[in-house]
Amino acid sequence: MLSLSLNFLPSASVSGDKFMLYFTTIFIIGTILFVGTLGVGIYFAFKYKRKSDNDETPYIPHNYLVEFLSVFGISVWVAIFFIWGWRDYKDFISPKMDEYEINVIGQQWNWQIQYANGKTFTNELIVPVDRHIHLAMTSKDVLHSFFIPEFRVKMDTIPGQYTSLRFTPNKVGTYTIYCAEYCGTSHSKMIGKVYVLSQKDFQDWLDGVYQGELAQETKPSNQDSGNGMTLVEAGEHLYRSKTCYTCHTTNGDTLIGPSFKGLFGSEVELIGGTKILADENYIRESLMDPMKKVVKGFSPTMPTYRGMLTDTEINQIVAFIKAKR
Amino acid sequence: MGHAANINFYEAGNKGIMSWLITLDHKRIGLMYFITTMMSLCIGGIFALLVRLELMFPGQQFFDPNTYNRLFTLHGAVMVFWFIIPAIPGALGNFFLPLMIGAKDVAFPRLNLLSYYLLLLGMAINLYGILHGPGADTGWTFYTPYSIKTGAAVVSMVVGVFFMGFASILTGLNFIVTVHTLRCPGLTWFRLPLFVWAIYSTSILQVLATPVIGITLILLTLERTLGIGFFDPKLGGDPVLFQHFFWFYSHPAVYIMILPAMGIISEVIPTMSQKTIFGYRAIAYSSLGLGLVSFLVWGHHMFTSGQSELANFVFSLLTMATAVPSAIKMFNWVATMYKGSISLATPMLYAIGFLFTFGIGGITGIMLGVLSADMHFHDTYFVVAHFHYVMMGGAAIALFSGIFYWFPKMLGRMYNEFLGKLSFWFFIVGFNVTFLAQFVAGLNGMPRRYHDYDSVYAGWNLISTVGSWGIALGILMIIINVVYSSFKGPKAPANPWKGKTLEWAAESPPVLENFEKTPTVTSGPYDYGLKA
Ligand code: HEC
Ligand SMILES: [Cu+2]
Ligand SMILES: [Cu+2]
Repeated sequence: MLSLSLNFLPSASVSGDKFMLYFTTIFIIGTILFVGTLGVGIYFAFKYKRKSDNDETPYIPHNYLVEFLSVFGISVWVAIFFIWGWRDYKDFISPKMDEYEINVIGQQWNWQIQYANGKTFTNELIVPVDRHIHLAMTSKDVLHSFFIPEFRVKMDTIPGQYTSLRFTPNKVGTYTIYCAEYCGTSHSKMIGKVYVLSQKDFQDWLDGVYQGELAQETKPSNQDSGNGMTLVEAGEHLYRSKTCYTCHTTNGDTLIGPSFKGLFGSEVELIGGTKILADENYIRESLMDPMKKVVKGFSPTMPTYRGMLTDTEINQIVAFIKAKR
Repeated sequence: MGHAANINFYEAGNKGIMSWLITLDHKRIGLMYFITTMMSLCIGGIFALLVRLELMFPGQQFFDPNTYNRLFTLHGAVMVFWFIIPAIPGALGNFFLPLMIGAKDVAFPRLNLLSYYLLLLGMAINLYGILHGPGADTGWTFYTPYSIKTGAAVVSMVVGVFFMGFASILTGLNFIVTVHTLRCPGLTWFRLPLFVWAIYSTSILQVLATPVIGITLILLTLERTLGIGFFDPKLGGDPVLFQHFFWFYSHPAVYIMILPAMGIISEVIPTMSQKTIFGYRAIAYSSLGLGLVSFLVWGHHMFTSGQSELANFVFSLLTMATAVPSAIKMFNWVATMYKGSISLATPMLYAIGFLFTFGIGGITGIMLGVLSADMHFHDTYFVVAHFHYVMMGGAAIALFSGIFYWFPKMLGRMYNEFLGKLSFWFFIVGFNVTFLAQFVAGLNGMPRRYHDYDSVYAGWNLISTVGSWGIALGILMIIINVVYSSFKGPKAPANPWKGKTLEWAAESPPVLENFEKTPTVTSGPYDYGLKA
């Protein structure tokens, strides 16, 4: 049977609930305004329908009071909704304390979802309920957009940079991941699932003892070997094998380049005096384009790693540098 | 020929096809634009029907994903670049702007003809890519890096659009100069008909914004052919930069489409109500105001592109601010009808239809401008429905209103009233069924540009497809009406609607240089009714 319900998409996150409240309000007020204006127009069309070719009409070029009141009314209406929307948005994008971080890489045409323990799943995101989740996302090829309709959130994934998606699931269940940015042939097939588990189940799942339905879907064949290393361990490995250690220490000492100790999340002063927050994108840029932002007090001798590190490896290095904060 | 001045422009001067193809008469050029853009509407419409057919049921129906992707790309590109942007300024603007200001022609008739041929050239280049190449599958937005990587014929699409952009710039330039220099004696700025104000504002946008898309598309072409690396991150470029450039033009382009439409409505409603327009200056200034603000809101297409918080704040605020001038216009049109003598002939029906659909387009636009809500709505069918309400339900409906309103003047014959009204009802019902259903699908999370969709959306998609047939029938009736009445309609009087703007002072159809004697204006454009 075809469903013709108007609102069949459940809400399963804090931002989803906020969206529903917001939308319901703006919808009702918008409808009143619309029906009011149009109703008057249609009423006029009937009431003042032409009776004869010689109807007399009055000459009313304007009415300042009516004009002022309508401009004022509309402005207030718009301002209220703007502020409301801005506050919800601000809340949605701001980093929270104690976020659970997961890496996402979009590629034609699936999602690679990478956990701190080094496990990687395709098209399956498993998260604990009632925790702030932060997805650090990028793309391997073209633009995609990571969209979870039940959470009412999305964010584009962009090759060569990181974007963030934040949400707080508040209902245990299974939800959908769509790609919302057109990306070619199988754009509409780039579908995944989000499993929201209770916090205990999630811990069990991390420990590999979870027995629920999921175990099937995330069976080992679906997992990256990752050499059994966590992201941080893999990052440390790269730190050695790519010879970062020859210029960067992790204990605070300065060699040719600044130390990684305490780097992530700090304010870095660049040549020229501008200050910049050392976040995921900054680290990525330091690797790809080291000349672009040179740290004050250092010479621009860092080699570029463009084309020498995969997105997964960059994620691992970022995790490693984060762990040294 | 002798007294050419007394003979209408169809019969005056040379005859035969060449006399049309190399004409410098703004009326003939306007009619050529009219025929060309109506054909574009049909082509774009066929693509739309095919897209809807594929989406009638979940799963693959008629086209594989690659074909489907080409269909929706062509639908968008043809409707935007071949139809809506050139239609109102090119066809109705060309025909009526000089008439309405009491001029003999536009300021640069040769440039005018050149614009038309640039449009044709652009279309021909597009067609070459569609028919001889693999077609384009990027969406009409050509987002990088997909448009750099895809194997489809992006270059022919983009180069074609580049030439059409030039056509648009030159038309705008021509109209600006025309309005400044060729107004007849007594026609001060505040006696200009609002359609002229609207075309004037549009022309400014065309001249200022279109070069940006031209340059952007050249950069894209260079990137594709020479691998220069403006937008491809692999080469050190920034893919999001393309979006900034693209929308820096394409948002003002929305106003290139909608401002002339508002101009038509501002003509039709006062005349058909025999009432002076309510708030003339408010409407004139809000056209200019909307035009200016439209340059500063492009980022609202990019709320989820990772642009900064501050950018999102400013773009959202300015976007929502545009609700104010738009709402002013809505109120003014409705207020104009108050105590009027309202004729519900076809042009007026379409104008009231415009108030209805444009109203929905506007209010859903505010919903989309809200940052938090756009995190959900962006790139879903909610957006698709919204811009169809503004483009089709705004620009196209107003065009239809204008076609019927000015038909007697252009062709010298009356259209068929019954068929006109019937076309309206088919169109308006079909339109609302099609796109209200898409609002529901979008609200519930159906992403756009999807070849296939989850079965939960099946009901609304089926309804939407059935609705699209209503639109098709409505448009078909308009075309039949226009073609039939051009030859067989009863002869039209010079002023069938008792209009007071200058085009109604000319013959139907007008003589070769519009007026036998240059008119002099002594009052405002909408002096209907009894002054107290
Ligand atoms: C030849 C020496 C050298 C090597 C090898 C090197 N770097 Fe650097 N790096 C530098 C220098 C010098 C700077 C500071 C100047 C600048 O910002 O470009 C720097 C800056 C950085 C920064 C920014 C630090 C800050 O305090 O803002 C990061 C992050 C970084 N490097 C990461 C790496 C990683 C990861 C590797 C290994 C894959 C690496 N570097 C390899 C010399 C090097
Ligand atoms: Cu996609
Ligand atoms: Cu826009």
